[in-house]
Amino acid sequence: MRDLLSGNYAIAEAVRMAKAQLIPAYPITPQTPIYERLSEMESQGTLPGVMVRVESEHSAMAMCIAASLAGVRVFTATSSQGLALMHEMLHFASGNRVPVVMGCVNRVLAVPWSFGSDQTDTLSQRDTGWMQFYCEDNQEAFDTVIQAYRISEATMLPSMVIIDAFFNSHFIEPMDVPDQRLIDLFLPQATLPERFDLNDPAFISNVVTSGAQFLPFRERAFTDMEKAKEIIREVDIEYRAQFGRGYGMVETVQTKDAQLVLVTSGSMTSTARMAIEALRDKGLKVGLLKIKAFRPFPSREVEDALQNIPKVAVIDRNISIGKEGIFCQELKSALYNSTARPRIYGYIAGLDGLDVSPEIIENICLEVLGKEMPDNLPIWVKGN
Amino acid sequence: MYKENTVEDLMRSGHFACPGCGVAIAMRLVLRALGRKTIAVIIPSCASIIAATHPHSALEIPAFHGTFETAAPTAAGISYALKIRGKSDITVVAIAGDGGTFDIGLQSLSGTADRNEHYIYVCLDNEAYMNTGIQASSATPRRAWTITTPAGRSARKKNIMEIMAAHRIPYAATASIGYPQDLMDKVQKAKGIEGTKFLHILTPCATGWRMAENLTVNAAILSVETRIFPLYEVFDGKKYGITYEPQGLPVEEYLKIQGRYRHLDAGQIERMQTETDEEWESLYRHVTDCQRKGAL
Amino acid sequence: MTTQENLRAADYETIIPVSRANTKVFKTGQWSQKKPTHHPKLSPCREACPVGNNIPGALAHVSKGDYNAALALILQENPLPGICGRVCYHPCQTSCNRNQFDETVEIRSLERAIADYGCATPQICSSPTDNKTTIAVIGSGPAGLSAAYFLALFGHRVTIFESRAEPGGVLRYGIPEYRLPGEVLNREIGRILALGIDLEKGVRIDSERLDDLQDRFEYIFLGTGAWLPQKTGLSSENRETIQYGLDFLSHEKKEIFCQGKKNIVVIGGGDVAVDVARTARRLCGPGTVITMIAPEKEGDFPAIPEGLAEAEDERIRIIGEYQPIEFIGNSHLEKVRFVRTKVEKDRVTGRYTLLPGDGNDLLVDADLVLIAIGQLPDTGLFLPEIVDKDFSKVFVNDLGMTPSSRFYAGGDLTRKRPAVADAILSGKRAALSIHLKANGYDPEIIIPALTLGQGSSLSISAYIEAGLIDLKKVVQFAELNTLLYRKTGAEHGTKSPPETRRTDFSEVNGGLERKAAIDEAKRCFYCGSCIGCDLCFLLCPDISIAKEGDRIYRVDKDYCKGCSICATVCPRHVIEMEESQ
Repeated sequence: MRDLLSGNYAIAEAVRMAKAQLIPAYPITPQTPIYERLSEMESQGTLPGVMVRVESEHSAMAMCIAASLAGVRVFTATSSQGLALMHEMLHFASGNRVPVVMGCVNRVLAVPWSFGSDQTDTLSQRDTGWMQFYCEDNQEAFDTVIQAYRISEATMLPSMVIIDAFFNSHFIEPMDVPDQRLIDLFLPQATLPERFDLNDPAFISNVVTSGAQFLPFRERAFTDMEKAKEIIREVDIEYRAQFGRGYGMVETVQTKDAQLVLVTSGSMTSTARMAIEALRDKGLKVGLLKIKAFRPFPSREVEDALQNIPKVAVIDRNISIGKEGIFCQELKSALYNSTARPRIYGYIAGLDGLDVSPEIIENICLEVLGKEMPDNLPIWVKGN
Repeated sequence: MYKENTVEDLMRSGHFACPGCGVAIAMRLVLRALGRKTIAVIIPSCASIIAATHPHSALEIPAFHGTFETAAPTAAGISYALKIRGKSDITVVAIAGDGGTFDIGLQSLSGTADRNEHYIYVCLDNEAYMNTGIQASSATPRRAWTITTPAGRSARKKNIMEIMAAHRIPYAATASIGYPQDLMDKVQKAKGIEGTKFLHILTPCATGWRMAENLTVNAAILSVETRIFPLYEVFDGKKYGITYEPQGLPVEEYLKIQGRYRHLDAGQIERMQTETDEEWESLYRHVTDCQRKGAL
Repeated sequence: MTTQENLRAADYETIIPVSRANTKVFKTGQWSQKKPTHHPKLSPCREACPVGNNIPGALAHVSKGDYNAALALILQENPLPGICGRVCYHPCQTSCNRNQFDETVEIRSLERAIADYGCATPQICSSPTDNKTTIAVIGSGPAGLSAAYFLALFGHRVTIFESRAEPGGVLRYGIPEYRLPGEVLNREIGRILALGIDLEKGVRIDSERLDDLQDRFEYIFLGTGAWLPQKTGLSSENRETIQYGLDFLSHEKKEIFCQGKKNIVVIGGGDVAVDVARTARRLCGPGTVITMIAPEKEGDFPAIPEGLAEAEDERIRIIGEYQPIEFIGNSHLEKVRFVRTKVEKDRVTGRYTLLPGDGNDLLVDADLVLIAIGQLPDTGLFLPEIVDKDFSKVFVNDLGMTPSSRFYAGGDLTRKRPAVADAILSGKRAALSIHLKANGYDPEIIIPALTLGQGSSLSISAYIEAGLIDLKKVVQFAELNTLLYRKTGAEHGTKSPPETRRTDFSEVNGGLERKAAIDEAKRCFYCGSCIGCDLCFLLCPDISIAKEGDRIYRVDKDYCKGCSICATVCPRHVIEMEESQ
C-alpha cells in the first residue's frame, strides 16, 4: 500500500507491524513523534504491544532488557541526550545478548543545546556492542526495522535503526507499506529464549570472578557480530525477494571507473546521488559509496568497492574531537591492511542539520579532484 | 511459629555472606515467604554477591543481576513480559540495598511506583554502601560513622517510607529480621496485592556497624524496641498502621552495641533520643489520624 | 541451513553467564570452628522445686491451653500437684528469673490450674524387664504417698498402712479445708491408689506387726510423720487451756476449745501456727482477739507470706520478736508473759538459736493458748540403730535409706524441712533407691546424677529420658536474651472476702481462671527449655540449622559459619557455642 509517512511514523508503523510486544518509551525531540504515534495506535487499539510511559531512557532500556530476557519482543526509541543517558544500559543490553531493536534519531549532543542532526550521538555508542544501521530515507527506515528484528533475533545482539533529525524524522515521503500478512511471513512471532524458567532456575548474568571467565563471553559476542554480517546479507536478500527492496551493508553508485568515490551515510546520501549525477554530466568520473551498516563494519564490502580507486572523500555529519570524522576514521582503519589504498579526504558537514546542498557536495568533489594530498585535519564545511 | 507445608527455603547454604549477615537472613526470609513461583531481580549490593558468582547460584529460583539503579524497572519489565506471556501467577521481586534504593535507584523506583507496576520491591537497608566497603548513603543515619563520614554523617536518614507512601502505592511496610514472622507475613501480604509493593527491611551489618557478628539480630530487635525503626504498614499511601507496638527502650540501648556510634557523647545521644521521639510522634500522628478518620 | 538458523540454534547457555551450580559445594562451615548445640538446661525454678517439676515444660503446654499434656508432664515428677499448687511454699517463685525482669511467674497457681483443669493418667515408666519387688509403706502422708506412687509406677507391689481412718496424714488432718479442700485431697490420693496400690486403713503398726511386715515385704518405707507436739518447757504449761498445733487441728471437736473465748494467743510463726490461728478465727467468730506471737521478726516468719497476709486480713494480730516466759493465772489462764527475743541463724548448721532481745516484756490477755512451735516424730517403735539418741528422728542417708538396709524413711520423721514438697521429694528418693537396688544398679551413682543443679531435688523424668537436658546447668538471668520479652504484671487468682472467711472453711483462694492461667503461663521465660520458637532456625543466615520436627533442630556444620546469632538470640539460653574438631 502506498502511503505518505514521516521517518518517525514509518518507524512507528514498522514497530506495529513487527508486533513488538513491549514498548517502554520516553519523549525527546526529535524522536518524540515515534512515541506519540505508537501511543495513538495503542489508544486506537491497533498496536499489538503494550506501551509503558517510563520516566527516563535509562529505565526504558532497563525494561527492554528485562522483558527481552523474559522472552518478549521489545522496542524503544531515543535521540541525543537520551541515548547518552542510556549508555550504561547499551553495554548491558549487548552483554545480556538481548535482541532489542531501537529507533535512533540523530541529534546533536549539548552543549550548545540544539535539535538538528548530528550522528555523534549514535556513533559515540560505537563500542557498546550494538549493530547500527544508518538509513537514507523513510522507506529504508521502515524496511530496516523489520529486518533488524530478524537480524537481532538471529544473532542475539541488539540493533539501532538510525535516521537523521528532521530530514528523515519529520519529512513526509511517499512510501510502500507492505501487507501485514507478508510481514508476518517474513517476521514470525518472536521465539526468544525464556531466561527465567521456574523449572530450571538459574541466576542470569551474575558476577564472573576472573578474566578467564570474562573473556569467552566477550569473544563470543565478537564472533557473533562477525557472523552477523552474513546474516544481514541473507536477511536483506530474503527481504528483497519478498518485497522488492534491499539495501546491502553498503551500496555503490558508479564506482567502477571512478577517480573519486564520495562516502556518505544517512540522509545526505540522497543529496550525494544528485551531486554525482551532476558531476558525471560534467564528465567527471565520480562515484558514491553509501555505508549503511556501521556495526558490524562492512570492511570487506568497503575494500571491494574501493579497489583501484585513487581518491575517496568522506563527508561526516559527526565529529570525534581530537581526531576527525568518525566514518572517515573507520574507513581508514578498514583499508590500512588492504590492497586498496586510496587517498582519503575528510570533510565535516551538516552538523546540527546544516544544509548540505548538492552544490556543496559538488564543490567538495572538485576540491578533492584538484588536490594532490589530503590535509592532516578534516575540512569544516560551513555552508554556502 | 511458621506455617508448615506452605514454606520452604529457597536460599542455599554455602553462600559467601559475612558471618551473621543481616542481608542473608532477610533474603532467606523474603524468599521463604514468596515461594517457588518467584523471579528475583538483584542489583549490585551485598545481596548480589550472596546470591553467588558465576557459575553458582545460592537461589532455588530464577534470578537476574540487573544494574545498580534499575532494580525497579527491571523487575517491572519482567513483570510486564510475564503478563504478556500469560504467566500471571509468578511474583517478581526486586532486591536492592539502601544505596540502590535511597540514592542511585530512587528515580527509577519512583517511576515504577508512579505507574504502580506489579512487583514487590524489597530494600535491604544496611545503612551504607557495605559491598564497596562502608561508604555513607542517604540511608546512613545522622552521626553514624562510615569511612566517608569519619566524624559521623551530618544529614539525617532519608525517610524512604514517606517517599514511597507519597506515591500512593497500594502497600508499603517496614520489617525487621528481629521479627521473622512479621516480616514473612508482610511479604505474603504484599504478594497478594496488585501493583507496586515496597518493603523496607533493616538488615544490620556486623562489619559496617562495627559490631560483633552475633549481634545483628539483637540490633534489629533493639532498633524496633527503641522506635528507631518502627514496624508499620501504609496502605494506598494513606492508611497507616503500627504492626508491632515497640517498648520504647532508650535509644542508647541500640547505639551502645555498635562501634559506628562509639564517638557519641551524652549530649549527642540525647539528641538522637529527641529526634527518634519526634519521628515516632510524627508516625504515630499518621496512625491516629487514620484511626480518627476510620480509615483502618 | 542458513547462517541465521545456525546462530539461532546456538547454545543460549554459553552467550551470557547462566549460573545453576549449587553453592553447597562451598563448605563455608570451614570458616569457623565454633558451632552451636541445642543444649537444654535447668531453669532456676525447677532447680529450686524439691519435687523437680518440669515447670517450663508444663507451662509451655498451658500456654497453648493444653492442660492435659501439662498435667501428664507434672505427674512424672509430682504425685500431688493439686495439693502443692495450693499449699507449697513455692521456692520456684523465689528463684524465678522473671523476678529480675518484672515479677515472678505465679508458678504455684499454675500448678493448681494444671491439676484442676487437666486430665491425665500417670505415665507407667517401668520396663517389663525390671525386677519387681514388694514394699510396705507405713503412713499415708505426702512422703508415704510419694514413695508408694513412684514405686507403683516402677511396677512394684506396694501396700500402704495407715493408722487413721482415712489416708492423707498431715494433708488431711493438719491442713485446714480453707487451704486444701477435702475433694482435692481425695482426688489426688485416688489417682495414686488407682495405680494398684493396696491401702490398709486403721492399722496402727506396733513392734509385732513390724516384724510381720519384715517377713511379708522386701522393703519397708517409714513415713509416719511428726505428730508429737514440741512444748515450751515452761513450768506453767500444763493446763487444759493450752493446746498444741497439730493436736488442735486434727481434733474432731476442736470447736469446744474455742467456745466463748475472748483472747486467744497463738505461739509460733510457722505454717501450722498460721493455720491454728486462722482455724481458731473461723471457730470463734469475729469478736475474739487472736494474737499470733513468734520469736522471728515480722516479715521473717517461717510461714508462707501469703498465708500470713491472709491471716492479717482475717484480723489476726501478728507480733514478732517475743517468746513466752510465763503462763499467768490460777485455775483459769489469764495472761501470757513474753520476753523480747531475737533469732540467730547459725551459718554452718542452719540452726536457729533464740537469744534475749532488747525491750520490755509483753503481757498479753489470754483465755486460750495454742502452741505451734514444732512437731516431733514418734520413733519409739523403730529399731534403735536407725534412730538418733534423742529419739527425735530416723536417720537416712542421701539415698533415703536408714542404717538398716531394708528400711527407708522420709518426711517429717527424718526431720528435714517440714514441707509437703520436701516430703514428696523424700518419698521419691527412697522409691528410686529401692527400685535401683532391686534391679542391681548402684543408687549412689545414679541418684546424684539425677539431682537437679546444686539442689537436692530429683527428676524421675531425667532418669527415664536421660541426656535430654543438662541437669547440672541452671540458666542465669543474665544469660537470657530478654529483648523479645515484654514487662507484664502477673495474673493473680481471686480470694474470697475476709469477712466471709471468718466463719467459713471453704477455700480462700479461687485460683486462676483457665484463660488467666494461659496468659500467666505465657509469661514464663522457659529458661533453658526449647519451646520450638524456630528463631534459631529462621534467623540462621547460612541456612545451616535444619528443622527436623517439633523442637528438633540439626546443625549442619558444613555451612555454619559460627556467627552465634542462634545462641545470642535464643530467648531461653538453650543454645551454646562450642569449639568443634
